[in-house]
Amino acid sequence: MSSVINLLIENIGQILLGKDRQVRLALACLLARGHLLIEDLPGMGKTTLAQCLAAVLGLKYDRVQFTSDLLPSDILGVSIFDKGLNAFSFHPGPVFTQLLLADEINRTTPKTQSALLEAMEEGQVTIDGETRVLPQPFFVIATQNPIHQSGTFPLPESQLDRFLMRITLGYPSAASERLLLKGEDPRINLKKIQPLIGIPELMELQRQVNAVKASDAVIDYLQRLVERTRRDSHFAYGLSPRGAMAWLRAGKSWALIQGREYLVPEDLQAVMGAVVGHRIHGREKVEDLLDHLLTSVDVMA
Amino acid sequence: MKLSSLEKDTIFRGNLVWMLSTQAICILPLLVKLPLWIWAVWFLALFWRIQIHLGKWRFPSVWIKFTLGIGCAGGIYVTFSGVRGVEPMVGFLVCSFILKIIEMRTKKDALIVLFIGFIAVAAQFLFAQDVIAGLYGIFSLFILLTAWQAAFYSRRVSLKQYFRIGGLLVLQATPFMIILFLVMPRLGPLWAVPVAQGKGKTGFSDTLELGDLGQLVRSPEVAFRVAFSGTAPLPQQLYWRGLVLDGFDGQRWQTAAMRARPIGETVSDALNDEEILKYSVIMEPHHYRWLFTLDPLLAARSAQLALEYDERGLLSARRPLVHKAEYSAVSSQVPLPHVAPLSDPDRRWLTRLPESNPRAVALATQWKNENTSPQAMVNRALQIFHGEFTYTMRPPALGANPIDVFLFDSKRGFCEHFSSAFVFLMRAAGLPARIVVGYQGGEYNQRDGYFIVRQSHAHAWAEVWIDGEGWRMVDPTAAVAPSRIEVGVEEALSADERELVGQMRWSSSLMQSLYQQWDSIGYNWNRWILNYDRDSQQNLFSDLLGDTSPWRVGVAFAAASFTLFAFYAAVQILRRRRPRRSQEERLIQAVLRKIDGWGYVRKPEETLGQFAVRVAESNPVMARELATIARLYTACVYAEDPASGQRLQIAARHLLKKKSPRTTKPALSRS
Repeated sequence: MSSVINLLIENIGQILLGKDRQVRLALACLLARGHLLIEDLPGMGKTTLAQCLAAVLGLKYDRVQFTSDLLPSDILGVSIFDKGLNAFSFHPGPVFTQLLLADEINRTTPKTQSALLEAMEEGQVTIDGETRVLPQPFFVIATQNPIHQSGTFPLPESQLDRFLMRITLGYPSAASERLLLKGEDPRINLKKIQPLIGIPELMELQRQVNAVKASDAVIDYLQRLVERTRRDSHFAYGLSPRGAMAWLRAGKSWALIQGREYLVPEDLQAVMGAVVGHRIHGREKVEDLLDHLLTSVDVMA
Repeated sequence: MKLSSLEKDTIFRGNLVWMLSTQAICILPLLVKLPLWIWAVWFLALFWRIQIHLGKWRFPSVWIKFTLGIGCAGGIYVTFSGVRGVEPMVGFLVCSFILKIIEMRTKKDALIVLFIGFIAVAAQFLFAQDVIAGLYGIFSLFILLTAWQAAFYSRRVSLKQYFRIGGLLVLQATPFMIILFLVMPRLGPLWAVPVAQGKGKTGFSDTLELGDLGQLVRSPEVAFRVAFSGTAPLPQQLYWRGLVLDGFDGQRWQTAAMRARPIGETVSDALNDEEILKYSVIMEPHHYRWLFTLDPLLAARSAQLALEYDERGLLSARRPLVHKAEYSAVSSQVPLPHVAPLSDPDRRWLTRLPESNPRAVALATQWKNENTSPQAMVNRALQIFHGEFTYTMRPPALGANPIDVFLFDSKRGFCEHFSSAFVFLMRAAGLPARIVVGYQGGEYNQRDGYFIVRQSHAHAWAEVWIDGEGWRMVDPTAAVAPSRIEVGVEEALSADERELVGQMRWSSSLMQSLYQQWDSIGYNWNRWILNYDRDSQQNLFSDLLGDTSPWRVGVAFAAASFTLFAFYAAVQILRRRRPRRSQEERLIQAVLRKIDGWGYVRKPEETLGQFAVRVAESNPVMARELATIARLYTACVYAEDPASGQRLQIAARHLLKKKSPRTTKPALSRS
């Protein structure tokens, strides 16, 4: 199976140059059945990453550009009275897809944000008193501008928690950027990408994530890390049990991407920034907190 | 935490209850000794603080605080004017402590309140030093320490968690407290704490009127407790002499002031152990100077009292006894051989009688004229009491010639009636005689082998001077009611009077044994804790350390403290360490320690594999080995592959056998 995964990563890597690690994290997030939040400045390739993922996995893809006047019904869909049928007919919104790119989610009002976030959590939406199940798999990639930019409604902590991972893409390396500048826009190739796996294979991969073995030793390490966030005064509050479970799931997914059937501490460390970064809070910067957490817990007990 | 932030930070709202209840616990024992208006001030302050907490009232302005402060100071001045003692000082402390809570708004204020709390706990011991007070003091400290921790919390913590932390601190501090208690130099009090005068006098007064003891016997209050070293004598042999009454004015016996002199602390070696009784007495404060001993007294010593002794063989303290105090004494079991003859003025004084009681005088004069020997005279007097006399706590009123009425008409009396009639007769017959008051008997506590002597053991008896022999003790009560001496005052009385005797009455033997146990605890508390003085300390040092030189004590103190803290540290470290480790785990730790010694230190966050990569930069040979170990370790521990455990052990042992990391030749060039 690892050959399939490597193929996926390779394919995306041809379009999103030099972002191997972020691509792997995004894939890990998807395989762990989690939603992804990408926080970065405009033009860093957030959309491209989402499009690539949808393309290589053969997922139905939709995109919503969040604006401050977007309403919940613009995402979820709306019932319209059909004169011909003499009845209301439901026009599903963009949320009825397999991979939804929610662009600039913090541009819109909390009301609209929470409509989407509820859909993410439940896997279903309720419109006009009728519950409608979303397609499977359902995967949201939300992008968000850095909080300090003006005109944003930052997501509250409780809603950040709904995202399994938060990553940043960052500027490309000089070499990657040079390739980008010299050659033609790699996004042209996006159209040419053929799905490499189908939905059943994707489901099978997600199942395999669950089957990754986590030994007592590595669970111990995870527990020590989580305990640290709860006891250490650097952290305003500790990681919740849901956060701990998310970390374990993401770590397993990462292990599978690395082609391993068992979890090692390196996996937990690799996904730590993406999984824990948006779940902790303290006086210092998140990077420093993460660094403190990592260096203050011994891997070897 | 920086002080500046202490000053800025307001108290977490949930902690206010802690602060207020802690304060209440600290000051309650003080408040009960203080006037009621201080309670009112306290309730006002509490109410105010709670209103502030609820957001209804505001913190008082400077002027209000000033007025309240002045008001309290004035109140104390008025209430306690003319009173010497600790109460005014404690009152002032409590008032300022109480008023502090209405200006308590920051963490710094909260800490000040808590620190005053510690002083209040110390002040508790000005009023009581018994077991209950000790336990309550420790309890207050526990609450104070818990609240101190709580002051630093900024979120709600479960009550259990609070108490766990506070309790742990108290438990950890207790052994060190004991060490300090044992080792701290026992200085005498640096200043005398004045105690309010004119109250709480219990027991005898220095005069005796007929009927006085009958009242005293109704009280079950403890007079003193006494422990004998060696076998204790029988209760009926215990005549505790307290006062000698040798002046009689027809109604009342009183004591003559005598020049007292210091008493020797040790006994000459001539007396062997069978002939002497050694005992130590813990007196309850009775606000008089006299102390109780057995006759004849040989020596006495006390670390707390300045002891004196007069020629009547009475022991007394130089100042009235206002606190519990201990003294030890030695008495002889056999009469002393040499007795100085009675001087003429003494003889005259001891046979002096007022013009009264003609019938008794006539009887005694008759004996005298018959030229009876002193011994026969004593017997004849006792013979009278053998007749139809009744021992009773409710004697009739006797009128102007009490001895006459008692001897010839009423014939009903208590021990003081018998002894004063006896002494009167002896004096009238020309024999020097005097009354002794004190206690007779004692209640034996089986658990710790000591006697409790209560006011109900109060007794009066007589002493007669026999030329050539000296003072002889005669107990006329024994003649009329032998069971008074042999069993106790209760047995000697008729059934309807027994209820009057002050005694602890228990409905069940369980209650009685619980009471005895409780009394034992209190006794031991006094004996070993309150009376732990310089002497006991020196004895302890020489028992434990061989001698009492300061450097030995210092070293022992340092060693004991160090051991204690090392133990705490060890517990901390051991608890942090994971207890269970597999063999592979231990081997890996050994490998890491060895590599550590060679200068390759693993960072805590590094897995073995990452470490191997880092080592590879400087020592590829070892890194290769380390990488193998890391791979096997991962397989063994994380992949839980049983087969790799064996190989891991081999690889690790191989590395452990290596001597030095000097072979830093790159592995690539060799292959």
